[in-house]
Amino acid sequence: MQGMIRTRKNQKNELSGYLFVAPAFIIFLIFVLLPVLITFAYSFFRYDGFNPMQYIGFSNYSRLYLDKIHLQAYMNTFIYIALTLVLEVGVGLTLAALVSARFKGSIFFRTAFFTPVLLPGVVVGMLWTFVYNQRFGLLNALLKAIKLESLAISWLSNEKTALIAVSVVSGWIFAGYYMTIFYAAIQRIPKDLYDAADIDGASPIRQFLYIKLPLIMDMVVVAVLLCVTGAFQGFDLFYVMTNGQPNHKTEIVTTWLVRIVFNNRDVGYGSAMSVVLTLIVLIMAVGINKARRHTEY
Amino acid sequence: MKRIPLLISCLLIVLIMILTSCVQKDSPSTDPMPDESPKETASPPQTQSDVIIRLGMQFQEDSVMAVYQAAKEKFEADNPGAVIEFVLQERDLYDTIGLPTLLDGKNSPDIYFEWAGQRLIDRRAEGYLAPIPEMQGEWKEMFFESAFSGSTFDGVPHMVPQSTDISVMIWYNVKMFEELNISVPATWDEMLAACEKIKAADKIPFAVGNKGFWPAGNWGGHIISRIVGEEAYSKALMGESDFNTPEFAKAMDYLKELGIKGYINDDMSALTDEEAGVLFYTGEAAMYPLGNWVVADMNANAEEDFLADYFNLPAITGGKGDQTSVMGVNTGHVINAKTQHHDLCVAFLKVFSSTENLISMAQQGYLPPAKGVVTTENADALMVKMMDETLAGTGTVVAPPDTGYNLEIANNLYEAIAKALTGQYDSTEVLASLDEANAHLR
Repeated sequence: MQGMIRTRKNQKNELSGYLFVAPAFIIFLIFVLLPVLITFAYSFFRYDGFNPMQYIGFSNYSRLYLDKIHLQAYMNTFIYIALTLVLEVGVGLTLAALVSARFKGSIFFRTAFFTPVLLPGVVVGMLWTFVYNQRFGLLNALLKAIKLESLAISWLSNEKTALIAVSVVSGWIFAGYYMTIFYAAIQRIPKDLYDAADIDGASPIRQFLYIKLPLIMDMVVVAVLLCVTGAFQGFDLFYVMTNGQPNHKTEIVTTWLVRIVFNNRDVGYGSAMSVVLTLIVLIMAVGINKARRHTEY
Repeated sequence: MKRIPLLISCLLIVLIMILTSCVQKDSPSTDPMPDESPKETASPPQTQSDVIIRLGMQFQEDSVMAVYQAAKEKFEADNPGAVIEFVLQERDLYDTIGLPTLLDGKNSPDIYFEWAGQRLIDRRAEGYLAPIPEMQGEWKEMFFESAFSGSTFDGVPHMVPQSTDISVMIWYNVKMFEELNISVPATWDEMLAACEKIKAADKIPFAVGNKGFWPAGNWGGHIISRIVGEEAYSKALMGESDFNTPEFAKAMDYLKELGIKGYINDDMSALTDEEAGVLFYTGEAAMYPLGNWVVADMNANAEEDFLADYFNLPAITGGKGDQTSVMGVNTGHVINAKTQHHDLCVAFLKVFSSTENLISMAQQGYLPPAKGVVTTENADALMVKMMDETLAGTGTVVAPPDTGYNLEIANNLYEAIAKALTGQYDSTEVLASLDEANAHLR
């Protein structure tokens, strides 16, 4: 009898658990799962979003591998990821090391480095478009002031510099964000470790390399994960600053996807692109997560 | 555990209820337009018996909206119980996905603004374009015959003309041309000679802002049509023939030459058309290839003493096309085939296309293709020149790629033109890539 009561109680607890989860699950179902499934379904059709759909099997997927711009967009995205890993995570880590060293005004620098994160991407994109402007831009004015006129070029319309120029802006925004994450992680490290290192005569650089960095490595891997998945979601800066130009040298998957769906009204093909993009991001996220397990102590 | 299926059933019922509530036929939330499109409804309070005629269009300047408002007020006074409601959308949105979304909605517009040509053919195939057989006699004869080009199907007009947009004309700085002793070029070679003089004077010959692809796309499209001929241009853009032919390669070489010789600002791909306009208005660039809407932009942004004029694309020796052709497109209002109030729509369009109203449009920088409207008494001298010389002096109006033809092919062509204008790519390779990008459309 007692066992039966316990079982009923457990069942009641289970039921209430499901009920608590239900609202979030329903929202997830409607706004995430259902659109994902619908997108997957659309990818097998020729569909412009308005006229009747026409089933075409895997044609949209086979087209993906023939679309040179689509492939170039992935190449650009991977270059962008490599650059942002250095400019966002690498610089963020360096800044965290600098601001975690106690000195006068470190709070000001922490605030200053974090400020760009608070600005909308479109605003930052517009701002930096002016900075890079060939005629009245700040960067070229600076180069001319130090007698380097030959380097004063049109940064955003030059095929060799456009992607790097946008990546630098991305780094300018997010380095402060990663700095904050790393700074918080560094603050958790027990102070007696530094004391012991001081007694042993370790320099600040050695302390960073042998104490701070190993102890915040889990956060570094999280930052890499955020940076990689975030790069695949990048859109606003590219759209505002270059719109994929020049000659698709700054075309990333999301900007190409938007042009396919909204300019060419090719919802079916755009859906196939979205499905493949989602799979690639998932695979990369799982890979980085597995790598993270190796870094856990 | 036995309750779990029950729980899941309950969740499903809740989900179905939520979903069905989203598509309730009487629910105002089903109508995407009120949320997606800001509206102007300066009409008196509506009563139950009011018939609402919805007019879908792009956002317009206040001065243009005043013309629409005047027509609305006259129509409503003439037709008690009928109300005009403007459904306005941001321009780029309306051009692309905005209008189809409006038309696909439950309360789709009864009347909407459109461009003649392929877009109207598409609307007709989709069932959103009604014939306007009422447009005959005096009403039809008030317009030039060319006003119905691209909007007449089976001999019946399907659009009430509002304006003829000239998409490409070469604006030039009059003072700079005089100072450099340059006369208006009549041929391509004369134009190149002018460019050389301008460049030697340390100025930019052509200001182009091609961040959005269409400004150079329209200009390049016009040059291509002049060289390959209108028929070949049209066939390729309809997907009926390849681009990679000797004629198209020759046309691409013309574009490439402009890039190689440095006649275009080298930050072309990083600037918008408005930003390129600044180069022109501030005297950094001598010429600015863009449409008739530059008049309004110039009035708003250029210094008062800035003097500009325009010339049509000069003749290209050996070109297969009409060397007097104008790149342009007719625009106007069409009636949705799904409207329940066709007669009221016709009544409104009659009011809107009255001579008095079209004169008001001409005063706002539009080119209504109607007789006796764009005259020296009613419009700016530049507008009169466009109407009396440019449009009247040509036998061929070439549609811009992105309004007259398949949109995807047009976008691909624009990219090829942008590539050619850099002067860095082989024309044949550019065209081969273009055909490759279009291959799936065949």
